[in-house]
Amino acid sequence: MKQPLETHDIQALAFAGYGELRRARYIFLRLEDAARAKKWLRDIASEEVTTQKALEMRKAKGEKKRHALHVAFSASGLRSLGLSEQVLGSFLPEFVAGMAEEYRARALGDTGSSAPEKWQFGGPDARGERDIHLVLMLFTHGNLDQSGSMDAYHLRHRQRYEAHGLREVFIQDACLLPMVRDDGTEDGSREAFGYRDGMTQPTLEGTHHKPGQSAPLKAGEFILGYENEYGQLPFTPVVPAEQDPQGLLPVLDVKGSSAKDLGRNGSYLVIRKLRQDVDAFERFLSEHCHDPEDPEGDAARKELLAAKMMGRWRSGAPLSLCPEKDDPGLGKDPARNNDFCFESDPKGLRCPLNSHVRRSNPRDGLIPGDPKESLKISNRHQLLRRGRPYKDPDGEQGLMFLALNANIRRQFEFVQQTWMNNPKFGGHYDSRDPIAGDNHDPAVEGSDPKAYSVTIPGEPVRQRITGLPRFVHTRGGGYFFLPGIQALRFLAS
Amino acid sequence: MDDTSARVFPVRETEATGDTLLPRRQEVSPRRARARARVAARRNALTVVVPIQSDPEGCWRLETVLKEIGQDIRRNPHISFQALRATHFLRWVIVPGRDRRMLALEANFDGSVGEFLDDLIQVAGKTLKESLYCHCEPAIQREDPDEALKGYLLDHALPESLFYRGYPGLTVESIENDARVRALTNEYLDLPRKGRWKSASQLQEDIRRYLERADPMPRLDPEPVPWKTRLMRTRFVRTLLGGLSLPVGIPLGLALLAHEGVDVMKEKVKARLGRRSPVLHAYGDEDARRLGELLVREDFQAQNQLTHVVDLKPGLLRVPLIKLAFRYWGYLATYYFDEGKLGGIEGIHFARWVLVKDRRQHGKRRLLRRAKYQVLFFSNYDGSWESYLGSFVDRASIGLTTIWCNTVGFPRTRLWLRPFRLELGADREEAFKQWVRQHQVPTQAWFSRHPDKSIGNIVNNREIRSKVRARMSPERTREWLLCL
Repeated sequence: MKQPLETHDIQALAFAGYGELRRARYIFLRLEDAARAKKWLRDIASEEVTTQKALEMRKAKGEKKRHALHVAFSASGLRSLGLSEQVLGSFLPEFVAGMAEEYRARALGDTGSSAPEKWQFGGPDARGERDIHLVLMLFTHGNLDQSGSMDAYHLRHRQRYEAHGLREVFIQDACLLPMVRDDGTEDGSREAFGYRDGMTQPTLEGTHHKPGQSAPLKAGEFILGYENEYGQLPFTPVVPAEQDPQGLLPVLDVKGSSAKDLGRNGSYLVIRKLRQDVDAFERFLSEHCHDPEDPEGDAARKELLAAKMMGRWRSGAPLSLCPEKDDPGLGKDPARNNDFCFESDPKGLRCPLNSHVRRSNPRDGLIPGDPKESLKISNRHQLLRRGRPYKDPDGEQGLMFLALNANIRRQFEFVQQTWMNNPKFGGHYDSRDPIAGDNHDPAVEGSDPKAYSVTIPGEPVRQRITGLPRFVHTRGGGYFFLPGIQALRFLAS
Repeated sequence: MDDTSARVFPVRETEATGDTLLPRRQEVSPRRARARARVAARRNALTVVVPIQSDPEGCWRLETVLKEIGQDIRRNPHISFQALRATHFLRWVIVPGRDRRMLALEANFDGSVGEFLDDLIQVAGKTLKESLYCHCEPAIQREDPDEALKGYLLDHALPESLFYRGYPGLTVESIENDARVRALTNEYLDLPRKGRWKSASQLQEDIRRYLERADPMPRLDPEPVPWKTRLMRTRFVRTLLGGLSLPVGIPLGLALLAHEGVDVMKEKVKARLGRRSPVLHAYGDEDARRLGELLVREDFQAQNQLTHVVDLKPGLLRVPLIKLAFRYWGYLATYYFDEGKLGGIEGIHFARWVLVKDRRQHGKRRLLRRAKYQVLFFSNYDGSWESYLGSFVDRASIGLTTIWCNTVGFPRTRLWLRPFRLELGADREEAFKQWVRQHQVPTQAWFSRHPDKSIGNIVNNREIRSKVRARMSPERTREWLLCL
């Protein structure tokens, strides 16, 4: 049964990555006074929060969008807005407990120098003064050096939210980085390690399907209120009917219930600030590609190792399609660069089982010899990724990771724990995701570098590098609820 | 004495008249002795469930000891598990009974129950007597001889209704030998060398030589596989035997479906009469606390454990139906599923279902009223809880539903007419997982012999070891080298 999407009620972040709005600013706020904050929320709910419908209408009129705004809430934010514990208990327990919980840090690999106690924001806070209640996401034009339009846009909003008693806890800027071609022209975007970015995204059923993208998934994997890949409606937060006297929320679609559906058209948003240690990465590549007998070949070997670890060449071309040599033309062609599978490569001789691309989305190669079942299972763990690179004034760079999903545990946490950080994935012994996994970090007590390896299958025998250092470190994060517009109005009432 | 058979354990009487304080041993009745011998001869698994005394002081002591053992399973002061040379997994867990709590021991090992118990009592007899089973009912005493303790554990052993092994035939010793072979092979490949790699068969030869020079030399030859096992592993025989189960399987499925249907109708009538069941699925404070208690014990090593306890639904047909389901899946697990895969799920080391009957009668005995049962499920599996339960839902929902639909609170099977499909209880992913968490019990003490090995590793290590000396075609040699 296919339901049409209620695009006027869904925040457009679920559909748009805003490739043309290069700058983004994430403002993490704390509210001091619920009544005043609600007034502000009411205002922005009616005018500012961008929905898909608004985008479509603007596009039909031929207007270009100049900026976009989204808002999402943490569990403590919902609590401060006056939601009862009973209602909060109907949200996912992972969301209520938060990302910084001790168990979760272990499962997500946030240990050592990535431990929540060391985070810039979102970490445990005994006094609750740095608790984040909501995040405001602004998108405008501009590039890495020009923040003019963003500053002006932010200033306008800062005046409004500060006047309503909201306090800034942390602000993070991010900006899409252009991928510069040899001839100096720009083409697509890249992330900090230099790989082309933003190619594999799941397509939602009922939205435009681009050539070369994987088959569409049910909307319920990402938006609450619709059927998911199990043929089920996802668990949704509910409000008893008497707590919604104005009738702002739709009635829950369950027989014999009068409860109101707070989750409809909403989603769970995962935010993580991930520092990428570019120097360590390049150093690692150089160290393991130097051959005194053939120093000329070092550069080529380095690119090959980088590609084997990622599963793609830096140009974006996947190893599954060109395992021997880079093909930049393939890399930038959106109709072809994502049109591949792993079924015919069960041992990873082309694209290593261990590579980042294959671990974070094993496609039809998850269960050897059963591509159909593999695809079915892979499809149940997808994320809509909305991240972009950042570069802080102190030179630190990395990725502001944002992902939308309907079930944090089954989607985000599963991918992180079972596919990326699990040393046994794909029959391995001690290999985590070589790029983004929680590899050797000397700050983790008692960790032995020998227990972190990367294996690159080859003939006659594999190449195995032990002592793989951790390249991506967590600097902060949290779980948020991205409500639909009606739900936003309810929260503001 | 006429009450011997009614008593589970002889009462202690000491004779103060003589100069020695010797316990007077009572004879075990021949029937009981036979029963004990039968249990002692079973292989690979032991489940012992004993009620815990109700006095709070003793309970607290028992919990403290289990906590001390569980917190540092390898270096705790009570039991040195590493000395149990043939034990794969072992746990003690306090499970809620119908009106009192029970101490459950679950162990998987090589050889017979009798051998395992001798081993266990030798290593930990003192702790068992003085810290664990002295708080149970009936209690064991400090001065009891080891023989009595063994008899006591055998008397309380429960048969496994459905028992699954991930690597039948592989002993602790051979798993560790295989791991050493792989480690040595890697050691050889890491040696500094000049030039490019040699050909595949030359490489195999070099690896073999290196392994043969190791001290002590690991066992390299493959275990002989009896022709019966080899025959059973062929696809044709397996499909044939699997097909044979259908005449039982189909009526069983229909009976379960009809039973579910009757239950749903009953509920509908009740709802008409004004008793509506709530649809909210909120996690209350209590649920959140329970969940937290489970989570703090997870994800420390390659495997995790699951202990799950749920009541059987009332109704006269439930016991025969669940027993038939166990038989059915037990048959398929033995004859149909590949080694190391239960209904397509990889990564279960050992799993078992146990039916526990509540022997105490409550209130008046009525005609046609059956005893109360609980369904215990123990599992030792690879990876995270979420991936384990996920693969249950993805790949084995029919098996789970036929077993657990007989228990309280399991998500209902539903029939949709448009489009026509049957939605099994375990297909309802979120509701099913929530139900599992609600009935999962935190395990106090859990030992794994292989904290760093997944089933994939164990199977792969065996493959490496068993072919080191094999003469293979170049193609097979290349495949073998890819296992490294």
